[in-house]
Amino acid sequence: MRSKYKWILSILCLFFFQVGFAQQKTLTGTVVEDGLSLPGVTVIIEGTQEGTQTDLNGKYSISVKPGQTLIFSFIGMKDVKYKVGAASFYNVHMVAAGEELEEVVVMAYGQTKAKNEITGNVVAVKGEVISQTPVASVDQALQGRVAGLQIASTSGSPGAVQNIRIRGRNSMSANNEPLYVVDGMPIITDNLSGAVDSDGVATGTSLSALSGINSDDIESMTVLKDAAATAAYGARGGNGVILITTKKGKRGEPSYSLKTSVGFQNFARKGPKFLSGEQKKELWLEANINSFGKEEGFNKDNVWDWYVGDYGNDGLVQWVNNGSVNNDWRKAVKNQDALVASVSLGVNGGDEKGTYYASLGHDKYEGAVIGSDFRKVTGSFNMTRNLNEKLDITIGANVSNIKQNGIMEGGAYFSNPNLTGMFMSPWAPIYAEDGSYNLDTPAGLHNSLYTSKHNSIVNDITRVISNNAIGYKILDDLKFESSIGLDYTLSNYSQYYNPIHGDGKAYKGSASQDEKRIFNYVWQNSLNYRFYLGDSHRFNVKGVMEYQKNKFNRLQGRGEVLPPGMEGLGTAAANFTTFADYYDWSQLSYLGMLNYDYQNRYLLDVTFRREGSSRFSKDERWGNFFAVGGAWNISSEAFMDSAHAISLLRLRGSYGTTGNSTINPNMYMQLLEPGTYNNESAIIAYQYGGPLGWEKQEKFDTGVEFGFFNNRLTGSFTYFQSKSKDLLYQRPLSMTSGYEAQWMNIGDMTNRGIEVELNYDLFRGDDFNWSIGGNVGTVKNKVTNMPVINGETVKVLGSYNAIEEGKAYGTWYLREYAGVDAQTGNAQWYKADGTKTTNYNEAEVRYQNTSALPKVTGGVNTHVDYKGFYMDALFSFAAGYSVYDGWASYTNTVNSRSLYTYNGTTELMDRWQHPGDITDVPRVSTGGNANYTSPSTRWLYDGDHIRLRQLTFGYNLKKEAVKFIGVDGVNLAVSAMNPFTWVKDKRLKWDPEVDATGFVEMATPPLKSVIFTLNVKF
Amino acid sequence: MKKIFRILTVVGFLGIGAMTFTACSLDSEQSNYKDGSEPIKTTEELKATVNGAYARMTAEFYYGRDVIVFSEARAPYMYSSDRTGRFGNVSGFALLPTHKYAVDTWLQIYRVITNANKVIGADVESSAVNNYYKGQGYVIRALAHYDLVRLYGEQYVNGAGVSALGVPYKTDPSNADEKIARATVKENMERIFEDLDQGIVYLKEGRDNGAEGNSLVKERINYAAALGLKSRIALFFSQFDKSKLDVVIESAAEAINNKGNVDVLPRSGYLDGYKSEGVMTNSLFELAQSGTDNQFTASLQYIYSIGTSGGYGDLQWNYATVDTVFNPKDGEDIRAEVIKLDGAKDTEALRNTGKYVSRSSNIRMLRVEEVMLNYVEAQLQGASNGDAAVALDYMNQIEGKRVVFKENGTEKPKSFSTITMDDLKDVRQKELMFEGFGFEDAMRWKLPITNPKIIANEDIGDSIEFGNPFLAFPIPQKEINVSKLEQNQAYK
Repeated sequence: MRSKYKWILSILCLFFFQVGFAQQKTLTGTVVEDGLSLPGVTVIIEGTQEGTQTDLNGKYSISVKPGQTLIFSFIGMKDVKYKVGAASFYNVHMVAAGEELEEVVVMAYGQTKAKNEITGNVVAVKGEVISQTPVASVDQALQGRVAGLQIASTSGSPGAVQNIRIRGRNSMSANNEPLYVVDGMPIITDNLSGAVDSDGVATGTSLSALSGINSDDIESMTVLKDAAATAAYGARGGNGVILITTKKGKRGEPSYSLKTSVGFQNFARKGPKFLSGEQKKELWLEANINSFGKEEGFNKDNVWDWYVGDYGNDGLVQWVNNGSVNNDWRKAVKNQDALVASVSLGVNGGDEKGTYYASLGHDKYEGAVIGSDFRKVTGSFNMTRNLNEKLDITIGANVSNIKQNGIMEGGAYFSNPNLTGMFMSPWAPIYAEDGSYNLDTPAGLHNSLYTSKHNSIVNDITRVISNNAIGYKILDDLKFESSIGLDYTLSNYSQYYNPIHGDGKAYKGSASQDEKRIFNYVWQNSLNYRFYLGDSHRFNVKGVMEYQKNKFNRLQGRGEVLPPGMEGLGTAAANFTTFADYYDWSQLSYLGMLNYDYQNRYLLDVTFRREGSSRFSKDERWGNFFAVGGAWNISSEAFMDSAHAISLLRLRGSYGTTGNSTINPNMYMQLLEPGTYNNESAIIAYQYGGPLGWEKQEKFDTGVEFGFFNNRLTGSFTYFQSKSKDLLYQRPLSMTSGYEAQWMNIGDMTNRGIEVELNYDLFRGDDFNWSIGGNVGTVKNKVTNMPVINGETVKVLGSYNAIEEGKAYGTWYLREYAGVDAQTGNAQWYKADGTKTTNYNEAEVRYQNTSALPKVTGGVNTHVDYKGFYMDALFSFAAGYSVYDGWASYTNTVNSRSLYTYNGTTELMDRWQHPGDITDVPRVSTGGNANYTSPSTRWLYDGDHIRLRQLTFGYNLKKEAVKFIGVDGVNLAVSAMNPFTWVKDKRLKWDPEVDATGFVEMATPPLKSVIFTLNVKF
Repeated sequence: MKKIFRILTVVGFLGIGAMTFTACSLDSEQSNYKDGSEPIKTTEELKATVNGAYARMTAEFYYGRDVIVFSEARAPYMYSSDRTGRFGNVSGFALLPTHKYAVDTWLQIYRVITNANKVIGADVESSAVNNYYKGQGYVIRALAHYDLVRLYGEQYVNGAGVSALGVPYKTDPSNADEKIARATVKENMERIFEDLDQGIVYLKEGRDNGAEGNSLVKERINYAAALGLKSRIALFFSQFDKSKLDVVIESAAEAINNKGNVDVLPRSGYLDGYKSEGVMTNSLFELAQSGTDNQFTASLQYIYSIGTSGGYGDLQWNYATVDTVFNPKDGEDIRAEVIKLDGAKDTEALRNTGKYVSRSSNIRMLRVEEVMLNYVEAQLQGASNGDAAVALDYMNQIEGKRVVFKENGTEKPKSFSTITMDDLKDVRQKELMFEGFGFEDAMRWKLPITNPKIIANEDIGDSIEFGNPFLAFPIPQKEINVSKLEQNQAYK
């Protein structure tokens, strides 16, 4: 905006004639940019048409009079003015337009503010940081860079959804994901994959709605955390807001940028080791000795003879007879060094009438597990144009197509390659004798090497996000803007299961297709008026009306019995089923914003929003949300003039309400659903409803921001408290009602914590710079009010965790493991009186003081550059949470399940063998100690970890060299993601980053990668 | 002036825009649901809601699989090897209040009850057709509560019988916050019979007025089926309350009088009968399944056998050979053919490969043979209104069509001249095997149950006897969290 005003100003200046009477003389000099001479720079005497241009060496010569002002202008550069004095030569340093501007932060509804104009709590991450982070969806780039923001990965498969929690968990049953706003338009961020069951729960690799955005198109991402910052989105800002601003064109000649990168990725942590064939044999024979040895009179020496006699030709005997070849299934299902490649080309430019930006991108990610890959093509275009002095329009579109080959994951699906790697017995051959895949796999498991090759699970998603606006300047300071955001997603999901092996066998092959059409539009009309009262009181008033509507349409088909070699739904011969559904939701809101400041010393922001949502019952539909934020820029006070060491010092605080409405439509109604019985239609009681309205958060946030020693040391300190009231809560009902739960506004929860950000420039120089920075956020969650039913406060006690008043939401609630009885080798737990028992049912269930969400998260980064070489490192850490390995009941049992049917981890080698042995792993037997793997602290692990999130080495080619090649800039970089992880709990072999539920999932774990990038600007 | 005009234009535009949208309704549209806050008003809705109850009964958590498997996995002759992690804890009597099996079935049965209660509470005129549907609602409600009692009631525990804790009896579909408590088994029993009797009256009225149509509709509870189910339920309660033996005789006899063309399956058609996916000729009531409406991998076929097209096959035969039960000396029994070696290599085991052979097999809810055997057992147990000759005839009708003695190339059907309880137990077990009776029969006959999963469970002995607290399923923890129901003794 600012540059536009200047531009208008300079045009106006041209029309005014200035008379000068001074002595004519010749002024010469050179115009340079970054030490390089600039040819073709226009040099004009202000107020005249007289002027010249610099020559090939950047030199100019012009006849002037002292007192005249010269304007040096070059497209893409900031104009330089020079008032002619006595000197006869003047060298000009020009800098690119935009570069010298004070760093501004994009706020709600397109407001941009300088750092010291903000009263709320916001963190901005620059686009270049995001584009340098090679990840499939842009949200992943925020990890470790924003205090109080925590990311948990649901799967390492490319494009999968991430769980983001800003300042912890604010809601119990409603969504806890932040609101995403792209260029001012709230977008839908549901899992776009068709691999979901009828309740919307993922049954396979998920697909993040954000993965369609090309990270090179991003100008900046802003995370809004407190009420003052999010209140503009009040109704839906309860979980925080992430604003994504895409790149716009800059005035100047077309400037091109090309980025290509290539690399490879692997599991970030190896995970537990699984038993080899020999180890499994050793344990299984020992189990048989322990179970039957005494009775049937055999021991270690003659167990094999007994075994062959008793078990006959079973899997183990066959394995031994075939030469005891170890089959490492876990290795077999990995795709070692999965390829990652991307290329992106952008161009931008513009003139005084408007600007444009366009880009194309192509990304390809192979999954680290067989069967998954991800490919996207994106194209984006936007332009702004001044139609006349009053009117301007903006048109933009971002089109993407994603093709994701997914796998069945996130659950114990027999064709989930992650499951095959963990569960499949090493006695089972991977290949048959003829070299083809062994399809005679034990325990009902599928050879997922075969199924991932011969089945297909494909998401093909095309999405268009188009943002368009027209602005009308009624008066100089009064502007009307109407913008419309259109977001259309076409999602095609197809699934094919082959008739030979795996899930399709029972159906002689099955195929299904799922077509989804999601149309979401947002219409915003706003009036913005800025004015001064006197010289010192500055006001900015904004009124907005916003309407959003979302329409969801789905058509599904499935069929069975497929001809050999054909995979499409159209080829199925029998048992066709179809399904279709439609729903919509809408929100209508009115927003008023007032920004006031007094000499930029005292600032006050007031926001009010009234919003109606179709998700709530008629009488509760409308909610009012407000926020007040204030700041005091102490360093701008006169009495601070002498405090030279302090460059910035300010206090700010805010209080307000935000809300949450992210639940499915019509949850307040008594609903009947359709059914079928005996080819007749049926009606089924489906949902119990009642009055339902907004969930509200009261947020308080206060902090101090500072910069010392010419901003060498900058930082902030924040305290926040968020109280969620009238929680959208699925109140559990007595199941005897025929319903499990009812959505109600019930219960309170608080989150409070502190956040600290610090950055220190250790060295500042022309050739050498070194800075180090860090952030840390804490959050303490507490359920403060639970519903009372029949006079008693409800406690929700689950198998693993519980929700109880006074505790953190979902605090782990488990029996405590007490090790193995050294005499008998049986597993023990603690009873209420502190003594140990081998009877699981007698043990006391206790709260464990941690939940799945970390109490402390943060990051540390450092940047070093020396003569064009640079190094960036980012560490992220999380502490104060626990993760649970729910699959231990398959992979760690001390009986036939892990030792015979499936496979176990090498931890089982530490089993108790003789009286006196001290270990955590009980005696092995064919069927005993079944409760060893039942829920207990044995399988709960500290998640505390430090991860080297990203390490980048790069080199920016010197200007001279670049110029020699004939381009504007060249950058080479190699970046490693997650190359190193330190985990506090040595027992934990899985990756400590699991999804927000805290369970180790049977999904692809987080990945580490090494990526080489070449960036050329020309 | 121009300025004011501009401002007015924009304000007007904004105003129109705002009004357009305010006028827009903020009601959501959803294609696949409708409002259900009002009671049922029409016969069509009534019929659809009864259908809804049947649809819910076919779910895997109820008759679609679980309640049948709960009985079979705890039968003397069968158990779950837990090879795919299914039902092993049921066979091992190691369920916990948080386990899925205890929770899902509890919820699903009450869901059926809620639909039945909507039917019973329908605001429709009292006509033969409407009562025909309401009658089905009553019988479904009775059957559902009976199923809850036999799973979750503590009637076996320490031999407490009908004075033990049963389950909450639900009749109101509209108030989810109704205060509930566990009634005694006796109270449950009384209300079950009240519902059965009301249902039978309505079904008779419906049948007599032609609401059923010309022939027995076997995919719904008909008059004969209601009586047959009543004889089953009465036989269950007769172990604690001898007066119910007469109810067995009376309802079984009336059911058989009204069975229409339903008859005992002949020996030659026995195996094929079970292979048919539609209604069997010996069935009084089946829950319909089809190629597109079935439980897929959660079907009974999947849990019973691996077969050639895949299955979990967790449930397997508990003895080394088939002969342990089907001794060849007792004749050539067609029913022994149901149990076969199934699977390959280390998945190989003796499994049920003859009943529920396909995932689209109908669920055989009530066969005429069972009703006959209910009669025979009540007669042998000393019912005052039984006829020994009829009982003997029933036994011979069944055994004559199952077992033959081959002598010199001729086949001679087996026949009894007298019958004892032991004969009845032997025939009933062989006849109804794998159809969801194994556990209840064993309890009624006070048989101990043992299997490898019980032996492996170190918290209990090597065999489970009548009286053991673990014979009752745990009340789900989720339920107790909310309604504070009293937990069963084994899980306190």
